[in-house]
Amino acid sequence: MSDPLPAPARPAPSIQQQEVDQEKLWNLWFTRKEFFNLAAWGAFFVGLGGSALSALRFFIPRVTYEPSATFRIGKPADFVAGEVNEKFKRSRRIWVVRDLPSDGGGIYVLWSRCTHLGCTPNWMPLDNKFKCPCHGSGFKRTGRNFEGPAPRPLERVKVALAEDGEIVVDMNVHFRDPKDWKKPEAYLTVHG
Amino acid sequence: MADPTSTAAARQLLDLEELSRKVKTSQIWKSIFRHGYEDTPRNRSLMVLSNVFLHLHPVKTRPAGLRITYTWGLGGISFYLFLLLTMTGLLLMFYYRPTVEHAYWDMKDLRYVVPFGDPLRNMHRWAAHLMVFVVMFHMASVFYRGGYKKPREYNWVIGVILLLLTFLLSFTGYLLPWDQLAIWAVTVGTNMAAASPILGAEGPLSIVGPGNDARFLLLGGKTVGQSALLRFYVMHCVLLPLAFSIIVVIHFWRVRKDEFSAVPLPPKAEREKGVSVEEWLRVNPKQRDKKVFVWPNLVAREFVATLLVTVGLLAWSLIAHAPLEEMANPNKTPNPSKAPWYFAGLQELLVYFDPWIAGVVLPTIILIGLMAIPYLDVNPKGVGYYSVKSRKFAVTMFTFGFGFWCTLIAIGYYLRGPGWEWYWPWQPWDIHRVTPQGALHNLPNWVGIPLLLAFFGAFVELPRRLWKRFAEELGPIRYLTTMLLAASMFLVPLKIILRLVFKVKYIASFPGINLNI
Amino acid sequence: MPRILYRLFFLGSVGLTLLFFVMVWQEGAPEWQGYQAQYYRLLAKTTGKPELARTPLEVKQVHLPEFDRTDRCTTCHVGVDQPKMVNAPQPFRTHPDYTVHPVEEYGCTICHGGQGMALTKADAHGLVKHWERPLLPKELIVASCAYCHQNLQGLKGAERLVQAKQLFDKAGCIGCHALNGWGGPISTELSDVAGKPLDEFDFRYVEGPHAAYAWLYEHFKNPQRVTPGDAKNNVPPTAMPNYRLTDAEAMLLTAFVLGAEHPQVPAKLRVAGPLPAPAPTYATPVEQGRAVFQKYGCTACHGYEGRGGVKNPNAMTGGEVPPLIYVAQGFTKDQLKTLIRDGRYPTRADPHGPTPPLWMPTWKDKIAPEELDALVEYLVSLYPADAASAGERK
Repeated sequence: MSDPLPAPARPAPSIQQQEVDQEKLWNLWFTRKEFFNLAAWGAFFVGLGGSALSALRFFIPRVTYEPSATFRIGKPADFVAGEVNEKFKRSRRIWVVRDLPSDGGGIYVLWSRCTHLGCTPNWMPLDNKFKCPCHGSGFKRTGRNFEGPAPRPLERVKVALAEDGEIVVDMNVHFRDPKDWKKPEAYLTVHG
Repeated sequence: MADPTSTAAARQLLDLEELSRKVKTSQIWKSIFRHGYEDTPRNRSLMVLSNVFLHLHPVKTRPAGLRITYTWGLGGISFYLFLLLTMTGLLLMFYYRPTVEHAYWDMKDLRYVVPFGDPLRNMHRWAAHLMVFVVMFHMASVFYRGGYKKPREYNWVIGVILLLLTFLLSFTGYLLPWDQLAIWAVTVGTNMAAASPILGAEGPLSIVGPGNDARFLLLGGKTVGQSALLRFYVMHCVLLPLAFSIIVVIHFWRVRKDEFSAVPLPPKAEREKGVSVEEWLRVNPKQRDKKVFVWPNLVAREFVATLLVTVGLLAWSLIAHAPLEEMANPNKTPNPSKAPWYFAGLQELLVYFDPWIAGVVLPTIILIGLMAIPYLDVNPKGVGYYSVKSRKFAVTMFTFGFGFWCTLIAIGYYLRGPGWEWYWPWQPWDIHRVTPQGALHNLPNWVGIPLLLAFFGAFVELPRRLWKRFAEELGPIRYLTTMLLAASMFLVPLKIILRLVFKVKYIASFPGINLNI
Repeated sequence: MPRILYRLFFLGSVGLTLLFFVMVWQEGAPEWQGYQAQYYRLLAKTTGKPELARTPLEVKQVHLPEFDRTDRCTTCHVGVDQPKMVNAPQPFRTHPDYTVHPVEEYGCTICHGGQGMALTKADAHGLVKHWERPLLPKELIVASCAYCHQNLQGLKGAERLVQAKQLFDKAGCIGCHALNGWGGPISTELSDVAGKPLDEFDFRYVEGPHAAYAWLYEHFKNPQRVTPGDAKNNVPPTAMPNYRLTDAEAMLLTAFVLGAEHPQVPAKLRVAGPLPAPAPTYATPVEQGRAVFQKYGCTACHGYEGRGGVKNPNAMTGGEVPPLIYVAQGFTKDQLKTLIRDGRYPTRADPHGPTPPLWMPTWKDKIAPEELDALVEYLVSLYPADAASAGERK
């Protein structure tokens, strides 16, 4: 990029000089040619960048054909406090547990899959525990493993409350660590 | 022309030499073959110069580079394997359909019903494994002979990119048989993408959800399913081979432009006197110009190497079946679920580090560290020949890193069983065995963070004081970069020892942002 | 150029050529061709038409997209639907009653198991690594009838499955095991067993092949040997009694469990059975009670006709499930009804010992009130005139 020409010494500007003066009229640090050049390349790279971003977005489909992992299980009022509900055990492989008010009163959902080798445990209300018939693993009602070969507690899955007041379960999100069980996604607090 | 009825004339017509001469001076012939094939120096030159494939080579090369022990032919074998894989892969594409319904059964068909389908598929699989192995050792070989030092730094970087592309080619191909091995190895691998910082839904400082994170982009979904299969197929067959081809062309171009690195070594008498290679070359500059024709010397060796590799691969393919386990079952995770062997090292690190470190941070540092080597190594010695004495630091660091990498792979592949428990090769696998974690504790941050700072600080400060000249030669930026990378490298085995011996789980932890070291 | 190069070139080229020959030989003379050629020669001899011996050899397959499989068994078993081969040796013999389920419509593996896509004997018969459904032994093929036929009564060829169901009912298996969601909670759901992946079976103590049917058969013959538990890993030993089954009985029950699986069978191939028989009437409440006792599988824990003898380690009740023949002495009818409805857990004999594996389940959601009344009448009637020893069957 050339610096603007120094001011001419001639008192009477020639036509060429007038042209140069025209260019200097705006007192800019680039010439018109440079400006258009810059604008053209700028537009080119903007276009290129836009294509790249579009290509990236291309790879994220808006919808997939995977089976839906979220479903509704009714309203909190459908679940009795202090009870392990087995209504969805066969169809969705989950237990819905609602705590007594003294224990927090909230609702959590346990995946009915033994953490030993994947069998489906049974709920034993009289013994207040989940007992797996395959190798005898035992879990407390919170899901914690306390007997048998199971290496870790039953997993909780994500729960949320929809606007219409129904509970929505998302099987895609699991909570394995008891430290995560207090999180709002793992434990739905219910009032009344 | 004499009377055709006479025997002399008949002999003339059947005179093969005359016929041959006539053909070879015809317009058609001369338009295709532009030089003769008698063994003259001129023709030796023209064989290379005027052939589009062979002119990849120079016309002449130094004899030092011809010795098998210089390169072990690893670079050439890598490229040959790439070509072999392309060819066998192309043939396999005529029978394989990348859909969940067909992929596995097509693999079975290739084995039982397609003529030569079984050895072909086996060759493709074994050649793929061999290529990953060979490119890693090619990298080591180039390192040990200083073939990355000035002016060849950029070609080394290109080589690292090719290494990465080789891993990706192998990884995308791994999914295609759609058996249990495939689907779960890819699940383990892509879960590491989900553990990336920022762009992974389960990584630290995540700004995306599982519906649009790096893993979703790779798989086209949340699970390894039909979308993943199709994407991996396209990447494996088109995108990655194209990228590889383009970059390998640059790689070869650079080798030619920077001249092949092999240098003649001083004779034994001089070496015993303690004369260094560079000194001897400076005193005897004409030694560098002693070259031999590539045709036939180098080309013949390449040909034989190609032949032997092919024989070995074909023999192995006829003896050993490439694995094909049960059909992919997303509801059943095998125990253990292992990543492909070249990622087994990273999977082993998952025992000691969070997924985002073992699967994202460490590989990134490794790649960046590898690429940085030529720019950090200012020692001019050791270019074009193997030497430990004149490059002790470089050789030590690389050997440790490479050796550690291979050890981790060996552990992850051979010594880990169900539950990722430790199993010696003679111990039978027991699905019930669960070693209790024992009491692992975390170091409180007020201990851990200063400890880390002290560790890195020691790595930066101590060598500077102990080996002043070394630090001075590197200059401040190079020195700092080198020592920080070295510190990161040694942090890994140190953390492993901390965990195994002192039962420390995290040195520093920030559970709020899911960041634990 | 160094001589070694020429030598290696020679070795390499010769080696490559040799390997090509090996490869071509492997491809050119596959196992199945031998069998097929043999078949055609045999067919020519049997039919007296020598030109049949020169039938061109080819791979034969039945492609069944609705079953999601392709069966190539007929490549070697060419004569399955050739009536003239009834006296031929295997693999050439005619399949009995081949018109009932023609090969072109059903293939072979849906009933027989095996790896239909394979073309070598070993691979096709499927007792190889990574193939979960090998060929079923002859006595167990009947299990496959249950996949499509929902009612087996009177089905020709499936008589053994009916026998198996009768044995299952008599032994009271339903008391501990659930079947299709209904039954006892003590042990595993049986319809899930046959389809389990093979690495979820413990084959350590199984002598036969590593296949589901072998595990099941040996488990029926001797549960204590096949599932002894694993003290080191907190897996308790099996609580299933050894019923001292004969080999034939164990085969029947194995077939029954194999048939309980639910493979995906297209609706058009399912065969519904006739309507179930009307509920039987009983002369006396005691008779009805006996039927109820049988129906809910009480036999499994309390023994045949309540005589007891089933082990329950570390239970306060003498390490055994209590017999019922003396309940008239110890309980009122209302107490019995409450006990049956609510269930009960046995107290441990040694408080620090293992939990007894068997317990009385809660029956209130399962037994109807009139059934409960009849059951109690039956139990009370068990008080023996003579003191028969516990644990004796028949």
